[in-house]
This record gives sequence, C-alpha cells and structure tokens, in this order.
Amino acid sequence: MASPPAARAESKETDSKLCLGCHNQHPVNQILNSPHAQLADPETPFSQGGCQTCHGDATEHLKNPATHPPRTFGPGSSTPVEKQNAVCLDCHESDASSHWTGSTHETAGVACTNCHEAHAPLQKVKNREKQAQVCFNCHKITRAEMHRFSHHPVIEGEVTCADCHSPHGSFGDSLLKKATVNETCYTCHAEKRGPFLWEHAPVREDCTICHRPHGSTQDDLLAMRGPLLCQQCHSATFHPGTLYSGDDVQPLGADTHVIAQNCLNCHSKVHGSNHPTGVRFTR
Amino acid sequence: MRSKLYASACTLVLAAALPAAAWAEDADDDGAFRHMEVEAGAGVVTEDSFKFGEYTGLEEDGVFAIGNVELYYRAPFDGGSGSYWSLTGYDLGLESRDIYAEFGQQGLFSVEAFYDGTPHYFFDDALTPYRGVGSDNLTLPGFWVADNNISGFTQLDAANQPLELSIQRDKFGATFNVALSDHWYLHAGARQEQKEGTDRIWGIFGTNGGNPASVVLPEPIDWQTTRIEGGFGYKSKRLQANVVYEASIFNNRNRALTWINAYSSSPGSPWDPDIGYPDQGRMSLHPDNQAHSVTFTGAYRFSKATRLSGQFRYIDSSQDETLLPYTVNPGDLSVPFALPRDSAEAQITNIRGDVKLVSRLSKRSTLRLSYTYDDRDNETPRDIFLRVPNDTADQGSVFTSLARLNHPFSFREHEADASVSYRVSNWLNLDGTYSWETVERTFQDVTDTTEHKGEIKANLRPGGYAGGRLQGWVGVSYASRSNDGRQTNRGHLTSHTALFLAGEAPDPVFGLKFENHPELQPFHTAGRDEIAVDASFTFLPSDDTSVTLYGKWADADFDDSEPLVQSTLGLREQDNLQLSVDGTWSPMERTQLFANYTYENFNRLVVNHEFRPFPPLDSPVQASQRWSQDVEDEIHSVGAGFKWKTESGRFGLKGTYNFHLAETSYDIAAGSELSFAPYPVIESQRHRVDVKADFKITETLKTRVAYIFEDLDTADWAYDGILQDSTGSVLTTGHQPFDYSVHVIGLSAIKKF
Repeated sequence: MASPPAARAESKETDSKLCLGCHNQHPVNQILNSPHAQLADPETPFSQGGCQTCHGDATEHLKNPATHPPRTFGPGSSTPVEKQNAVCLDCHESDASSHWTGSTHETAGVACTNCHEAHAPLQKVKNREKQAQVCFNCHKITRAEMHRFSHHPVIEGEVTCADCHSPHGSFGDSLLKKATVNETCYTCHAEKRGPFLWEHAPVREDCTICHRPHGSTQDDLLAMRGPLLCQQCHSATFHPGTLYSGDDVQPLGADTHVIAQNCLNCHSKVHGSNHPTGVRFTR
Repeated sequence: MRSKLYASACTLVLAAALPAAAWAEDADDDGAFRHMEVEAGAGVVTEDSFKFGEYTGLEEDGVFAIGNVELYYRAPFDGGSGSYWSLTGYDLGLESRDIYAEFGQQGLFSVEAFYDGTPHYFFDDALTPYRGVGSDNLTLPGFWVADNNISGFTQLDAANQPLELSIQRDKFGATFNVALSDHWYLHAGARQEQKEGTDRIWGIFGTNGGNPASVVLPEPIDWQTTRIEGGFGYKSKRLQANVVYEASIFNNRNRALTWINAYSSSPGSPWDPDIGYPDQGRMSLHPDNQAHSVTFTGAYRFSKATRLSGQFRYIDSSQDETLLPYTVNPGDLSVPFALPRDSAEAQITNIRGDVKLVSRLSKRSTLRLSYTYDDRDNETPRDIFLRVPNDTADQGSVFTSLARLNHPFSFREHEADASVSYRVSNWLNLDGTYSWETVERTFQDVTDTTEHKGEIKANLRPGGYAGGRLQGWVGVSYASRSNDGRQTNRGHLTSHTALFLAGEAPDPVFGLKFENHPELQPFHTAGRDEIAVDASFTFLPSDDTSVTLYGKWADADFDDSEPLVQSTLGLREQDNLQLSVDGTWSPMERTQLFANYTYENFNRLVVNHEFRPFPPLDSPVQASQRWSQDVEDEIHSVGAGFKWKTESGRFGLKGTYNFHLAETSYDIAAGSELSFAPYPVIESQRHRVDVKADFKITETLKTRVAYIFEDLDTADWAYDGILQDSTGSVLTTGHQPFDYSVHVIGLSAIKKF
C-alpha cells in the first residue's frame, strides 16, 4: 500500500503562502481548493515544490515582481506550449496522458490549459453536462453537425465527447477511445456487434461507411437517404438498379422501395441476420 | 502587452462559449472546499412532440419537475486526509436524469458510482392493427379481413390502435481505483445497461423480388448489456504499463418476433397454390452475444527526446444462439430439409497491435513513426443453408439459387505513418505526414486495397505572429487508393453452391455469372483519388473582439479504369465544403456577445443501371438504361447569444438563438429508356431560443426563470402524405414528418448551502 497521507504531508507550504501573499485573488487562489494543492498526495505540485513546481524558480520574480516567473500558463503565456505541456506531463504522462506524445492534439499544438484550468477546484471539461462546450471551442464544424436533424444527444448532455474520444491520445483513428470505429460503436450498441450468421461486410468493416456519427440531415445518422444509399454499392436485376425519382413519392406516386424506410421496408436486418434463411437480410 | 491582449481576447472566447460558471468560490473557514447547490422548481411544456423531447423526456405537454443537485467536498489542502466526495444529479425530474457519486482519498483510492437515464422518443403518431405490442408474438383482431392488397384491408381503421415508439436506456455502474504502492495500481469496474421499449421493424412475406408484401411491426426491445473490467498497472516517470481484461455480454430477452400475416395472397403473381397462404411469419431478433478482450498497453521514455508506446489487444467475440427453424410454417414446405447445424457457432478472433515512436531529432524537429496491425479472423463455419423466402415458399434444393453459403467476413489491415514537424521560426511550424494502409478482405469482389496519403500543414503558433493577433493553420492532403485481386463476381460464386453454378448460364456480354453488376465496385473498396484543403485562423482585432474562420474543401473521384471490367457504376464522386465564422465581442464589463455561422455543402454523384424484366430492359450495358443522381446537401447553421450581469451581480441574463436549415436536393439524369420526375426537396428548418434570467434574493438563494422556444418544420418525401394504405404492399405506420412549435417555461429556486 502507499504510505499514509498524514506521513506524506511534507510540503512547500511556506513557499506557496509567500506567492499567495501577492496573488491572493481569483482564480489564482483557487489552487488551494484544487486537487493540485493536496499535500496528502505526494504526487501533487504542492507536496513537491509548491507553486514553483509548475511555475519554476521564482527567485528573480521575488526580487523583481515586474518579471514573470520562468513558466506561465494559459493562452496569454509567453512560455511555448510544448514547455507548458511538459510541466503537466511531468506528472500526468504516467497516468491519463501516457499517450499524449505523438497524439493529434499534441501535434496540433494544443495546450493542456486550452481545456483544463489547473487552479480550479472543478473542471468544466469533466462535467458531463458542459464538456461539449469546451470541445466546441475548437471543433466548430462538429458543433454544427450536432445541431443537425439527426444527431447523437451530445448537446442534450446525454452523451459526452469523451464517451467516444480520448483527447489525451489513443491508438484509434480520430482519437477514439477504442481501437476501431466499430468497437467504439459497440460500446453502446452491443446488439449490433454480432457476429451474425449472415454478415453484411461493409457493416462489419466500418459503421461510418453508411452513418455520420456526429449528425446527419437524414434519419438514423445516415450519410444519404435510401434507396440511393444502397444503390451506391448495389446494382442488379429487379429493384436494386431501378431508377427511383419524384414519380415514386407523393403527389405523383408511392413506391414501396422509396417511401418510409425504403430498402429497409423489406431488408430490415441490414446490420446482420441470424435467421438460417437471412441471406438477404429480410429476416 | 501582446500576451495580455491575447489572454484577454481568448478568455473572452472561452467565456462566451461556455455557460455561466456555476462554480463559485466556495472555500469555507476550515479551508475545505464545499460547493453545495440544490435547484428545485417546476416547468411547463406547451405541446406534445416526441421529436422535441427526443432525448430529454420533454415529449408531452404539461408540468414537469426541475431538479438539479451539485454537492462537492474536498478536504483542506493541508488537512492531511486528501479526502473528497461529490454527488451530482441533473434533470432529476425527467427521464433523462443522471446521478453521479464519487468518493476517494487523493493518491490512494477512488470509488465512483453512477446512474444515467436516456430516453429516445421516435414518434407518437403511428398506428398499428397489431395486438400484443411489447411482446414477441403479434396478433390481429378476430375481425381482421385479409387481402392481397392493402386497399382490401377493410377493417384496418377499426383494428388500428395508436402506437408510441420509444426506448428508455438506463445505465448504472461503479468503478474502483486503488494505488497499491507508489508505482502499482489496480482498477475494477462494472456496469449494467438496460434498454426497454418499442421500436419498429419491417416484417415481410413474398417469395422473391417481384411480390413482397411487408408490414411495420412494433419490435419489443428488452436488452441488457453487462460490462465488467479489471486490470492493474505499473507507472513511473519512464515506464508505464497496464493490463486490462474486459467482458461485454449482451442479452436479448426476445429471440424472435412472430406475427400474423395481414395479407391473404400476394399482389401480382399469386402464391404457389400448393403452398397456400401462410398465416404467420417469424424473424430473428438480435441474438445474445459476448466479447472478451485483454489489452496490454505500455509506454517507455528512453530519454527526454524519445518515447516508445504500444498496445496489444486480443478480442474474442462469439454468438451461439440456437438457430430458428427454416420457417414457422413447416407444413407449407414440400421438401423439408434439415439445418446444417443447430446453432450459429459464430466466432471472431481479433488481434491488434500498435506501436508508436516519437523522437525529438533536434530543437527544431520531431519525428513520429507508427505502425498498426489489425486482424479480424471470422471463424464461423461455412455451411449450405436452404432459403425459405419469408415463410411462404418451398425451400428449394442445392440445385437452386435458394441454397446459399454464409460469408464469414474477415479482414486484415496494416497501416504505417511517418511524420516530421519542423519549427521554422518562433511563429511557424511545418508538419509533413506520409501514411500507407493496406486491407485484405475475404469473399469480396475486391480483396485488397492499398492507400498512400501525403499531408503537409503549416501552423502559425499562438502568440507569435502579427503581434499575437493571429494564429491558425493551413493543411493540404492528397490520398490515392488502388485495389487488387478484383474478381467481379467473387461474392456471387462464393455464396452459391457448385451444383447451382454449374447449371447457370454466363451473361453473354461479360462472359461470367454475376449478381451485382460487374461495372460496379462498392465505393469503400474502389480506387479513389482524394484531395483536401483546410485552414483555420483566429484573429484578434482588439482587446475585446475575436474572429475565427474555418474552412475545409475535399474532393474524391472514384476510379473508372479497371483492366478486367471497367468500373463506372456506384458512387463516382463526392465533394464537401465546410465554412464557419465565429465572432465574440465584449462591448462593456459583464457583457458578452457572440455569434457564429456555418455553411456546409456536400455533393455525391451516383451512377447506376436499370435492369427491368417487366417490361424488359435486360441489357447490362445499354447506355439508354443508365441513370445518375447528384445529391446535394446544403446546410446553414446560425448561433448567436449574449450574457449580461448587473454590477452587483444580483441580476443576470443570458440567451442564445440557434437556427438550422438543411436541404437535400437531387439532380437526376437518365437514358432514353427511362423516365423520371424530380424529387421534392427534403428539408428541415429549426429555430430555437434559450433564455435564462437569475435574480439573487440573498447571498445563498436565487430564483431562475428559464424559457425555451423551438420550432421545427420538415418536409420529407419518405413520409409526406404517405398514409398506411398509400401503397398496396407496405403497410406503414402513417407517420408524418415532424412539425411543431413548443414553448417551455421553468421557474426554480437555487439554494446554496
């Protein structure tokens, strides 16, 4: 077991109080209420070197308060992003951010402080109701996608970005938490995982061949309305190659291959069938 | 000055984009952090709309309860215990409620538990003549009059009952983390998900292509997914490693759905009189399945400059549900034939390995290398299954097309990436990336695809250029995918019996037997050239103003030059354009304004060929039978809002307006043998206003008035004017496109403890 908290309460408390003598204002002084200040945890900055653990040796700053400490953080900082992040990674590379190095966000020059407030007692980005707003600060197209007619309930607060994505780095595409798109989808849609007796190969390979996970103008997050969606890949005698058009919908007509769920009006088991005669995904 | 300017503007961006922070400075005299806030009240919804309340539970008009709780405690930083706990609950008066609780001692352990409810309302204007909704056995009332055409369902109106389609998903679970020592830790978790309700699914009768007849059926949803995981790990500054075992077990309490046939015969050609008119149908539902995985993840830092990380993952997925008989009407079969095996015996082994190396070559340059191997090996046995098309017909024999072999689809992927970043100056970074990916598939017409992709990107670093007033990036990428191992009828040959294929005449034009047109390649395996350009810039013209521009354009052309058979059908082109502009402005203290606009345009060109036996158009190559549809999605999204607070902080007001307009239009062209009319435009248009006003009565009590207005208009030819009996052979629910205007008013009190 780790050593008891009380025994680990050695700290640079005095140094920190010295800093807060001048910087005792919001949001700086909130650090005392944050996890970063807990002296009982030997891995926190406060239990190691107080404010100077992150901000560097403040000797010169104490002599001349007009100068900045060696490291400052946030969007207005003169400290390069890599150096800011290196301070965070010094502790967090061994846990949540072990795959940060080489990740999409790291390569794009994202600073930890773009999403996190190191001094805050509570992180907005960790609140399920508010997390997406933080992500939308940069991902503006995704924000628009989430307002489409059909969308995952992210803006409603029922699904978070972090339910599917690992912003600190992962081995999946698009920083997905799981290694593949389908594995990620099966986390919530385990019924579609199968394996089925009759498999529809593109479904097994990548859900995004047919679906747009953030949002779509069509029902069920589909990339395109059927029957044309299916006719991108299917052409055969009888209906798969037939030209359907305005003749087949109201007010000119009502074709069974076009209205309602179009192809799925009959091929309803398109994600896979376990019926012994389900080769055409009708049962 | 530069830094200050940038900081203030960026803070403005964040403040405008985020809702008012509920996080107050809540340190108590004892030094502990306490944020204790409870909100209670009531609201009113003015109109029923399943679409408005799709995921929130505000689907019905009437009164609802407002309840939110935020309780946080953290021990004093110098208290020595490091303990903390929290309890949050949101939307407690609605079906979308969630509750999270956490307790722990920092650096030692943490325990988390949660409940999360999520409704999904589909629509409430559906009708069904079926009884037994919610069960796996659907019947028709005794007075039902069947016919070979829906127009002959004379008792449909009398039999109809309202059908509300919705699902409730309830998740609960707990996780436990403990530090075993300074380096070793352990993690365990379990969660259960319950999904219950009624969805819709289509049940079909009919022998083959020409005479199917289907009905919308209420599908009973009663699913449970159990997930457990456990693992341990080691961490130090240089080395991190962990092993995690995870199991996911899905259970469906309904194995199959049985329903009474509403039809008495088939339109067009009648059923085989020897078989009669079946009175029941049955389809399989999602079978129970499970997946077990073991994941080993590790990372090692050789030096400050070089880090290696990797992951190995093994997944075993299986499904062994007992197979249903060929038909629920065995008496209708003239040649009963045994199933080749009793259960699915479906099994997939997935092995994946990733490795990544990142090395800072110099102060200015960084190299990143990665490689992925992913093998999905489907070990499900292949057998001949005789096909009984929809509980109506004879099952044929291995001599007919009705005998088919299953395709246990497998694929294997290799992917390698190499990228270099070079810092040209304090304000400019250049990145170059090369990627290579190859995929091998089984049973597909195209077995192998290989893609090469190159990408360059220029980054204007934050705070560096134009006095800190401008940052952003520009990127260009080009990808080229080719394929190999194409056999245009492999899918056909491998899914039929040798006995059937031996008697099948090859197509005279292509000289081979095919099911899918030989000139068509599924687009995800077709050759493709894709170019994309994207850019983003944030400009800070003054201390209190920011403007962000983003744009992306991508164009993909699918290959039309195949040595064996030219590929000209299917998805041929797609291009996307996305533009957005965001602005924020703080004209005075405690006042923030923001606005954004996004324009998106997607085009997809699909070419196809019409075969038509009645009247005959059976040439596979005749240009007069070719057609194309160019589909355009055009989407406008607008957002605007403000936040304002009095100097005393006693009164605060914030509001947002969102507008969304999406139009899908079709541009059709066709050969001389074909006729067509333009499709109507598919459209959805939504306005939404959110306003919140807070009035502080005392330091610990405030009232909140919240108002939401949402208006949605949709036009959708799939449902517009389509009644249950609009066609002769698809009995729909009669659902119409969504159209609503809903007001929601809430009044609540927020007490801080």
